[in-house]
Amino acid sequence: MTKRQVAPPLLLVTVTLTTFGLAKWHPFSPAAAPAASVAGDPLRGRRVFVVNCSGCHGMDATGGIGPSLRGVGLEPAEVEQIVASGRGVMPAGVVEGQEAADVAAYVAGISQ
Amino acid sequence: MLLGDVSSTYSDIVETVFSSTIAAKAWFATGAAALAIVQVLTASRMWGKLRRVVPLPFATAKRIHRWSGRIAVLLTLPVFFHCVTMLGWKTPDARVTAHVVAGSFVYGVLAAKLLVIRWKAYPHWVLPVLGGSLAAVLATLWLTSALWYFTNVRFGF
Repeated sequence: MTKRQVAPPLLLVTVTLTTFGLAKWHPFSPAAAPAASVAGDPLRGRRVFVVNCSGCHGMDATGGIGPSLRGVGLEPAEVEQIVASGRGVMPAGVVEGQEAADVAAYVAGISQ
Repeated sequence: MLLGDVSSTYSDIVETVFSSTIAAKAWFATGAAALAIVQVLTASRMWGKLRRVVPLPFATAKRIHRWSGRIAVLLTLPVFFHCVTMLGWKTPDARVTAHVVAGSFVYGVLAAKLLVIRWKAYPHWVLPVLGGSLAAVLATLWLTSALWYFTNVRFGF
């Protein structure tokens, strides 16, 4: 085998494994950052929920593709953590920052 | 700078234009996927196929192929940054598993393709196979991410 024959598959494997390793490490994960505690507004949170979350959890949060959020007893910090990190098929970071705090306040309210 | 600051700075920049980093990623991926179609069409023309579908001179097809490829790679960079360095490797279901596996291969296949183009002297079939594989990987990535986002979460910026 010559160098030219080996180089492309070797490069393919090396770059693929490097990408895999970086993904396993994911150094800039939002969950790795200390959570900035900001007060959420449930009224604004409802609007954020309708735009970003109702597609899976249903317009009134009674469930759809995603689970119902009513009566499950979530705390705002718990919701913010799930929104930041994702859970199951739910992607991480659907909303961030103030919007995440707002939607956490809304979801925590309706989940009690 | 704290590692966490990088993600929040990235989010702040992206959210000056898009509603969220996920929405931004869906649109960047859609741009790259659209350019991947341009790549396949112009490459086919350069290899003497689809002359009626892509009635372009060889030199024009080649120029469009190169520039659409460069722009497509640029569009994938923020997607790569967010997916690989912020979200990382997750396998909660078949869709996400297919996405992370295909995503791991995309730059590997691209690097191999670019090497084959530069070095030449490979069998005639190697370049179309690598180019086709790259297009297939990009299509898989778009179907398992942006299409899912647009149809299940929201369609908008």
